[in-house]
Amino acid sequence: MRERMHPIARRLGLLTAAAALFAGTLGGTADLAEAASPRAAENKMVLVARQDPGTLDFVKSNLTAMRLWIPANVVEPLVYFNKDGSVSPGVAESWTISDDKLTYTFKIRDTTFSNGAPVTAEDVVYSLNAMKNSPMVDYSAAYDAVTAIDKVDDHTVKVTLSRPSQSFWQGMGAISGLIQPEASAATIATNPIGTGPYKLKTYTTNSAFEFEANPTYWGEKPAVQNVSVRIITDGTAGLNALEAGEVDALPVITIDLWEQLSKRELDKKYSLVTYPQVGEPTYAILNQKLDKDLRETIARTFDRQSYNDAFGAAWGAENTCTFALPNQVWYSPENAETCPFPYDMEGAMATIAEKGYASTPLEYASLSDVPDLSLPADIMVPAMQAAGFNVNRNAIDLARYSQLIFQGRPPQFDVTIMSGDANPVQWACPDPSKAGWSTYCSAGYTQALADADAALSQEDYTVQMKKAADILRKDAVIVPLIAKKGVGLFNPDLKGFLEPRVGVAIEMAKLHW
Amino acid sequence: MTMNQPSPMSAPAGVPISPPQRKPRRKLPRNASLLIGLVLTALFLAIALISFFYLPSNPNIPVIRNRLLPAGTPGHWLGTDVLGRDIIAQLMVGARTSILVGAGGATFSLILGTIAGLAAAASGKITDEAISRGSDILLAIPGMVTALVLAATMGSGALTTILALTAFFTPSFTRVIRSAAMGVLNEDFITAAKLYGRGKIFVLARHVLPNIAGVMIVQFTLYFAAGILTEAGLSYLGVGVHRPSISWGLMLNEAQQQVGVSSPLAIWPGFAIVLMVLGLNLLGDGLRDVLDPKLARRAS
Repeated sequence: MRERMHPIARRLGLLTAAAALFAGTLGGTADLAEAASPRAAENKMVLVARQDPGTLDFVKSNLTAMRLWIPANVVEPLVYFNKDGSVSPGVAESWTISDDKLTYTFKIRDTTFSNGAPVTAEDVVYSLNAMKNSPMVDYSAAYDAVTAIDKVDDHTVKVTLSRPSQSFWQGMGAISGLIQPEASAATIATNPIGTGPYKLKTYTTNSAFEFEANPTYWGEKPAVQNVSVRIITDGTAGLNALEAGEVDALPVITIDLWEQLSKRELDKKYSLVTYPQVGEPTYAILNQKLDKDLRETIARTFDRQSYNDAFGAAWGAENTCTFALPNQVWYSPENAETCPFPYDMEGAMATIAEKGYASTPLEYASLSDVPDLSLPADIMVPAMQAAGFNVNRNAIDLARYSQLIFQGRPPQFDVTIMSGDANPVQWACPDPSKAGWSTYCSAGYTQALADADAALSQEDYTVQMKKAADILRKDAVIVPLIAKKGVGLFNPDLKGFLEPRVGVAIEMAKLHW
Repeated sequence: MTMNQPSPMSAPAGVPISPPQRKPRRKLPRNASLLIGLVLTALFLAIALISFFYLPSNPNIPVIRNRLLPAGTPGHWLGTDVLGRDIIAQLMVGARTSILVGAGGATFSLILGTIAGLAAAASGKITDEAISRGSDILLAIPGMVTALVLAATMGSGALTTILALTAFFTPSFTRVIRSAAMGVLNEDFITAAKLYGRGKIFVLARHVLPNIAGVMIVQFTLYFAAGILTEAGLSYLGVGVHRPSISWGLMLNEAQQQVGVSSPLAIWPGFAIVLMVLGLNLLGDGLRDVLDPKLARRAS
């Protein structure tokens, strides 16, 4: 005989069932909200680019808009430098380096380019010579010590150097070491060919890149067969497209969107990645003509935390007194050891009063039409005035800034702020009469960089670069403030993001659903 | 984008043709446009004046811990911007700059336009043609281009913006003043004054100027409003004023990046611009109604 349920128990049971149903409904809604992209089943993904590169010629262009997508994905370097410091094979299957670091011999992989042509030693010699003669100084600088690039046999290339050069070896894992077929050089601007995991199907200016997996790729096949990179110049539109499920990732989110990203809590709804490679240091420049004590006193009025906080995204930048990005071995975050002139308003005010700096008129040149530079200036100038400096802000647009500062000789500023390339070699200056727009020239710094480049070991290189960084920060001309990182936002189901190994290139082959 | 400029067609309406018979005061209470315009304009002028003596806080000093406070926060009733600077304080100083630049541009244009317009109207055909065609040529140059060139060569700022407005508005003023002055110069009392032996300059100063004063005042208010709009546009584009100066256009420029995060940052200066320009336009319309005897006769 069936046992009858007590009415209260029955009601509790119904209530439990209803609650379970409601919870299930909610759970279902949540599942729906987090459902994988419809493109996952189709083995596709759609990424967003903010800028159109115009040209894909990686020999003649250094635009980030190109460097994000072509290197490592379509065109590979001879070797890859991994985050842990190890070196992996690229187009070069293996290599030997002579003990004196003057001869590099690369064994070329027996594979084909994505157009089916075999990779030959001639192609490698051609590619290295093309980069050696590149109009982009960043690329050709790797070959400063190179005296010969020779084919040894069909699969071996030998590079001879006049002196040991770290920048040459590092360049072989960067854009300077990209290998292309000589026969396809004419179409490089619109259809670059390489040995990478993807080949470029189409590139439509101001619209999109379409990539598909390279069937002849020598390595592990990409997990996602087809990749579309859609060019959406409006950042907010890009974020909206991600929220609407129209795209799967924005691998590079510029600083102007960080606050919005936080406020909309997109950093919580999606996978936020930060990586230094696409980042930039922001730094003040104090004209070297100013007295060194005066420069040091000005540097003490810089409150790095305020500049960082002004961007409204704690994950986006680090305070630092070192001219570097966090992936560079000589980098150090702000600390007592590496900050010779820490924020100290009281100390600065005392020095200004003691040395009478209030009577020295200072001109602060700021870029009015670059928000991420005018924002720190909005903080810096009132702080300098509050400390007692007689500082006048000259807010000028980029055209006039270029005229007065980048091209002006002598440059027309006492203090300014800039953000850009983290390459420390840009401040090298062998001849004081040829100091660049920054006005900085130091024989000691230049020698330290040269010593680092000639280092025979990674350890020695690191020591010398740290020495150079120390000279730079103590000279108080280039005064680093913050290191902005690259920020990306991915669909939570799209996994496998790897920090760029070839410059800033996003390695799409590592991404998978 | 084009620079804002009131239509010259609205200008010469009602050039008085005989010496003083107007009694504007009598009509004031009945003219709603005039009253509303006066109230709005006086309100912003008062705010600008007060800003010289009192500000809730320094609008240029960042207080990072207060960044992006919402409207209604005690002590910051309209909120704060991305660096924690008070919006009310910025609007008050912005009123000062926007009014200074708008009024400066309109005043200099009025002076230069009046001189050129009177010269064209009273001189011979060659001078008239030269000034008129010169004005046509200047009017054909886009105002924004003039402003950008000036900003690139002199550096941007309030003075450059005033100069750009002057360069842009003067040809229009010249046309309007010339047209109004020619109407007066054809009157019999002018012929009588000439027969009485009065010189050209005396006639222009004693008889023509007072009779075109109504047109000048109305035009001034309209160009004042256009100047504020143009300044806002230039500052929004980054070629107007810069900190430590503050204008409503600069506030719009700075709010641009935060619109997706804190839209009121753009709404408050936008609202101030709309009210100020509305006030000046209503004031101009009201004054035209009061000072224009033809319109008054039609109304009665």
